[in-house]
Amino acid sequence: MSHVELDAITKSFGAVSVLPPLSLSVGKGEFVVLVGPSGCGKTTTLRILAGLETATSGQVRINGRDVTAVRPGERNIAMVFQNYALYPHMTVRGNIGYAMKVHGVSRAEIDARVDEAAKLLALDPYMDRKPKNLSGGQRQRVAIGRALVRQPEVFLFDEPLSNLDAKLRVEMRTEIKLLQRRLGTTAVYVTHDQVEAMTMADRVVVMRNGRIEQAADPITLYEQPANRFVANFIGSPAMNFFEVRIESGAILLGLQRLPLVAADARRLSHRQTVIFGIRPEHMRHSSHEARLTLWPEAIEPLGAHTLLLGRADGQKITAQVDPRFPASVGQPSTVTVDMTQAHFFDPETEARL
Amino acid sequence: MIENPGLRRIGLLLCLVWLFFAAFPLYWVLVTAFKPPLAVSQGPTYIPFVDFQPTMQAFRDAFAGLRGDFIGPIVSSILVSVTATVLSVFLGTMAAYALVRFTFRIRLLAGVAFAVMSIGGFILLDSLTGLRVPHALLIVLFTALPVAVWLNGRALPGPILGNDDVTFWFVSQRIFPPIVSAFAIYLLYAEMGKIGLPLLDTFGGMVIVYTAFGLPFAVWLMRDFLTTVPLEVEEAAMVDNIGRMRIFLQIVLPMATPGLIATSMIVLAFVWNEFLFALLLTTGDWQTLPILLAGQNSSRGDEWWAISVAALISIGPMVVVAAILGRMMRSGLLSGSIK
Amino acid sequence: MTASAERQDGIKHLFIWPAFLIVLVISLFPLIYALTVSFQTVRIVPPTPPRFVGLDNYAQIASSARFWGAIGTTALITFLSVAAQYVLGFLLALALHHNVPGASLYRVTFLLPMFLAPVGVALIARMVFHPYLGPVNDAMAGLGFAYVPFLTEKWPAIMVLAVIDTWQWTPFVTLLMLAGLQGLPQEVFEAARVDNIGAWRRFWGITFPMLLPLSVAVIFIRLIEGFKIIDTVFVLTGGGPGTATETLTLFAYNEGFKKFNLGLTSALSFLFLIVVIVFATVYLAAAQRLTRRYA
Repeated sequence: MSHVELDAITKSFGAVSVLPPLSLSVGKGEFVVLVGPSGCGKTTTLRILAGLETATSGQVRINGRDVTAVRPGERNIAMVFQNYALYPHMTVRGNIGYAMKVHGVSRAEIDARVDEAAKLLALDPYMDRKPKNLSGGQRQRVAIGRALVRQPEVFLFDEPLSNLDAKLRVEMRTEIKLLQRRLGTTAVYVTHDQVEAMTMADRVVVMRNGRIEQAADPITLYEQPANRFVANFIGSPAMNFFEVRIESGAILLGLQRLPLVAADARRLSHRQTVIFGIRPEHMRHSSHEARLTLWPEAIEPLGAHTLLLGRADGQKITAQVDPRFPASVGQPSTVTVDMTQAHFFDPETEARL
Repeated sequence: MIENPGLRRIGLLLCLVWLFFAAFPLYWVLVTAFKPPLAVSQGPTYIPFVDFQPTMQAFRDAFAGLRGDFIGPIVSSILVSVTATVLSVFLGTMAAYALVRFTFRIRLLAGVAFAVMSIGGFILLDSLTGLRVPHALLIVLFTALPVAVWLNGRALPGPILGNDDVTFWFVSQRIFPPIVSAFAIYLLYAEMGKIGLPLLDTFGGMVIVYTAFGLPFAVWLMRDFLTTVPLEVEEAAMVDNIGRMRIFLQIVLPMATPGLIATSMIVLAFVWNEFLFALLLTTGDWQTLPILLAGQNSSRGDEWWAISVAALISIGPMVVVAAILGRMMRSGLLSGSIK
Repeated sequence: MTASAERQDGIKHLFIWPAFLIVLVISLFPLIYALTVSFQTVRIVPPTPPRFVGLDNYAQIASSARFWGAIGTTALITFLSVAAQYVLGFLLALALHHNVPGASLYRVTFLLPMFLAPVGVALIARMVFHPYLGPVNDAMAGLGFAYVPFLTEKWPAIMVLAVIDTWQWTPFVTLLMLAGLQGLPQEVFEAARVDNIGAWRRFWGITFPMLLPLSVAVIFIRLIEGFKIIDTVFVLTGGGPGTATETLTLFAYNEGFKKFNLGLTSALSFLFLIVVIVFATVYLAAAQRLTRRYA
């Protein structure tokens, strides 16, 4: 059953169209992450959902109720902003309890709910501090606390972790995820960081130029990207792509011949050229492997594994290999490619084949 | 960051010379207030206890009312300037907030229509009917304004003015020589008096004029301060279902406190020191300090000790104002307010 | 500006109308009345019923030497003092910006003059420039010069008025230029220093052009404000000797409140407005040219 529904919403600023008709539905209790490069329309979508922007056309429904023309405050949502958006002149306690106080909730109940949120977010020691005396992570916790005491139908997050340092970001994303699961509240989360999207989401919505490229759970997204854009966007380091010819059950990358898995060979037999995609981490041994020679231009030892950055048939390639793999710049190296993990895309439409 | 010691020395020298130039008159008025009459009339004296024996006599005389009423103008100055400052900063901040957060679209043609209707309508009413001037103006205002607002909603041709133009409209009041509106207001106040609403030489009349006088400053300065208030915080409040008015009063105003203080200080200084309106619009009861000071000149002649006391009373509060703004300037707060 | 605000923006009228109405009713509406009066003869003493005289009032003022004299005096005092204010104010701002030792010490003293009542400043100036009892002539005597009757002769009086204005308003220029200097991107100057460009060239090549728009604005504000001068003249010379130091505002005041010739005074104040608008337009056009040449 869909809890939050965007029905063919569009948005244009003057003559510039930011969102073509876009539809998305989110189930009750689901954690959906909108991800994409900057300018892809993910934040606009979230703001339309919040009511901070009005859709040019289309409908927004929350819990079956049409809220398209309803003020943000009356949509029963709570939002966490990128820059925390705390009230700088109020203490942590004041920040969390302010909305309830304005809406005439009794003193005792405010205290109870604020204390509960404080305990949940480990904010107890800071309740009487002003935001300027808190660290970034603490501020973000206050912002989350402010959202959750309202017991909303839906949580909206607008890149809440992008101002935190890397270590804190990892901690906070787990924390948010656990909190959401515990409360069972529907959540829509916007980020440009694909790792954040993959680790937190029940379902990831990859967007580009206002369009949804693919909406799926993280594993599907990784294993069966709907098109070249999604394949490139998800996974780090990014997938390698080669334009190749198909000839008698193998792909030809320049003079190198990589035999296809039987199923792929059958599926692609009628094609002349395809885009062949292989992730750097899939340069490994498997039941069906091929050999590929590349010319490393740079070698990046990362400890757990080593990245070879170089060229194969004049095209850029990144390979993830064992740290003990013998390779040196300028000397050709041959790596093993796990052909069971190969991806193929149409050179014209870039759709998955 | 000057690397050249020569330039640095010239800079220091310039500052010291200016310091002397700026401070000497202030020093002079301060010591003169403590001079006995002989230390004035026998030629310039400079250093207390060396050139002359300081005395508090001039202060005692002033506050004893020996030399005319001092307390009255002080009280009216304080009441009028504080009330007018509070009003114009508050109303100006509201207008500035609207100009920062909302879009205004005003059709030039509607504005022109308003001007033509007001001026033409008044001339007609004034020459054809025996209406009193204030009545005629009110009739014109209440007909022309709704018509103009209605016209603004029609699809008229011609340019459309935006928020910057509205701001300019407010600020442009400062380009008018004040004598133009001072005379006009004097004439109008006199007419209002004739229909039983005394505004000349009253608290209300002065406060209204000074509120209008302070508004251009308040709108202009507060607009710049308010643009620095992050929009996200207000959006957070909107999502939390807080009303606009409450957002303005409880969230925006507290966040803009430094700007409010700076703007209030500047408006207060201008109202406190204003001379021309007070000269034209007051005759006795609500005379302010600058009028008292100007009067000192002719009524005191060379009684410099008394004149200095009067000047010091006017200067005192402004020293506090300058100190507050000086502190703000150091913290770089004012750098954001110019464009 | 968000779209939803557009939808719920009825409240914007509540925010802007009070301020708008006050300015409209107090600052602009009386002008309509004054405009009609300027085409009439209205006298309070002796009371005469208003009579329409067309442009007579305007013609009478435009042909009076006293009006043109007042324009000349006002312009002279304004130009002299604004030029001095700009140069001194900019230099002081540069010095303060480059952290001259003891800068924090000067700040309040530097700011103070512009917050003082011009009337009070004029009173102080009256003492300081007194021909026999004032310290300025005392100092000049000490240096072997003759006493100067500062306030009772035309040229010394005009100079004194310009000096007072400079004393009072240089801080304003310093304040704004300092803020402008602090807002300039630091990297440009560092790059210039790395390229071994001298301080003099750096100022004329970088600082001055970058601050030109601000300079234009600051000078504009000071010119507009300077044209309004009355308080100091009123106290210091009363326009004398004769009408040698009479400024436009003072002329209008004398005409209106000493002779109670309201029609003439209204016409005079509208002519004054026209003069200011002409000056402002010419100035802004010239400034725009200058800015474009530098940009």
